[in-house]
Amino acid sequence: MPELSDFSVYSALLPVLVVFIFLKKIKKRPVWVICIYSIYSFINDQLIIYRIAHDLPTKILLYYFTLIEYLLFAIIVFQLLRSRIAKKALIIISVIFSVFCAYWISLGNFTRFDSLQTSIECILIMVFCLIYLYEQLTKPQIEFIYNNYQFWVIISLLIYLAGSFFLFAYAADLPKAESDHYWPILYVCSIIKNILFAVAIYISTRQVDDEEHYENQF
Amino acid sequence: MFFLQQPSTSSSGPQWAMLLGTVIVMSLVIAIIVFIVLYQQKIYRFNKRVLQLEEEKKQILLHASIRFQEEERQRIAADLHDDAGPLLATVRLYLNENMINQDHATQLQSIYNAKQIIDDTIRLIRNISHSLMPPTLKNFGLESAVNDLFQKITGSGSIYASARFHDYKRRLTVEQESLVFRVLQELVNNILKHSNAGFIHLTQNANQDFMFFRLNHDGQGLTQPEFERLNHSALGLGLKNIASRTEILKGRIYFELDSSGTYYKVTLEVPKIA
Repeated sequence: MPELSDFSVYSALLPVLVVFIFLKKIKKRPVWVICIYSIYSFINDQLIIYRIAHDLPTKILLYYFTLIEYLLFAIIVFQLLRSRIAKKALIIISVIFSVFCAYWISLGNFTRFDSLQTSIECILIMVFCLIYLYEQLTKPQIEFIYNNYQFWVIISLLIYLAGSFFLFAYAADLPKAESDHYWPILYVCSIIKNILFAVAIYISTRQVDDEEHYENQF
Repeated sequence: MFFLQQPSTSSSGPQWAMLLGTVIVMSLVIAIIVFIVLYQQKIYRFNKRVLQLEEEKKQILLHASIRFQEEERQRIAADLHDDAGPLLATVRLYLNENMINQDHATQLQSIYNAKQIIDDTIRLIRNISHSLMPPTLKNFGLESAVNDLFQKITGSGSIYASARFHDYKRRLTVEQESLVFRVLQELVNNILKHSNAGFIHLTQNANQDFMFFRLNHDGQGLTQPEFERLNHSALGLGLKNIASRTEILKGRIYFELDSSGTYYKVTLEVPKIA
């Protein structure tokens, strides 16, 4: 009987599947980054499962995953933002955060869970997602916001990060037996994120359709 | 900071904080998303309504313009049919085939009468032609055409009309001059028909980028809200023509009552084309 964690792990393949179905219509760069992230996330989970099964250490994988996940999310948000100031701020903050994560990894002092890094990651990405939503409110509206694939990408990030933020923050503090009770929150958030990513990818293919349709009229 | 806290020996504290925090943050995020979607929908619908109203306004102006053209055509057709037609028919009567059987004196009288009627017809056709495109505007430009128009109005004796061009060394383009003349003509017609004014005065001025024409009169006039109201109603074909011509000029028109309350002002602003 598959468990919730299995659904969470395999749901990462959903955006990849949508990309392969609409491969010829994928023209947006953030969609490729989402695809890369989903593949990486799936491989990382498989590696962790394998290493746990063989009693091998997994902490280093979690630390690397946080850094790479942050960088991929930052790339996605960077491509969606319009404000130059916000983009510059994102670059500067990302460099600082990456150096901080790399330094922490280089120390080799791994705790059970990298709560500090994941918490900072959640806050940073959520702040830039909110900046994106603010930009959308202030720019002239020519269509409903939910017709844009960007909106679905941003809300998937927001829901995933908001749902897992406190879990990540307290994960290192809670005893392992107890923290295991709360991981389903992360699984649910992860499944929602992957479903919303798939929706975003599908909408991005429809946006291409519209552009091509208008091109054909002239 | 929460992430700098030491691992607690009792798990109930962090456990509750974590669950409560997750619920609060998730609720906040969902509330923000719902708010943004609803707010954006509201803004989008408002923008769509504004665009729709603009489109309706354009349609009204377009219809007014077409109706005006039709009325002009009907007027020209009526002038030609009712005035030029009978005159030419009369000439034909004078110059009929029986004329060769008549005596010499009657023949001369018929030719003389026919000549008189042909002269009248020429004058009539010239008047129709001039009403369509004043020759002064075509040959000598806006300033001369306006002065010519105002002299004719003053010459009628019912109202005093004067014009003063302060800075018209750099003229508008031919198309712009024609449109400005039509707007001024329509404004003057309205003043003559509806205002019961004693005088009309036109002042022209310019700056680096714009040309300004201001008509003052001491009769009953319009203010901007009244102009806007009439412009959006089924009434006021002439006003719609003024609005559509101003739009073609990419200019602006402003109707107002002078602060002293004694006379009305209409200001037409036209951008200069480099």
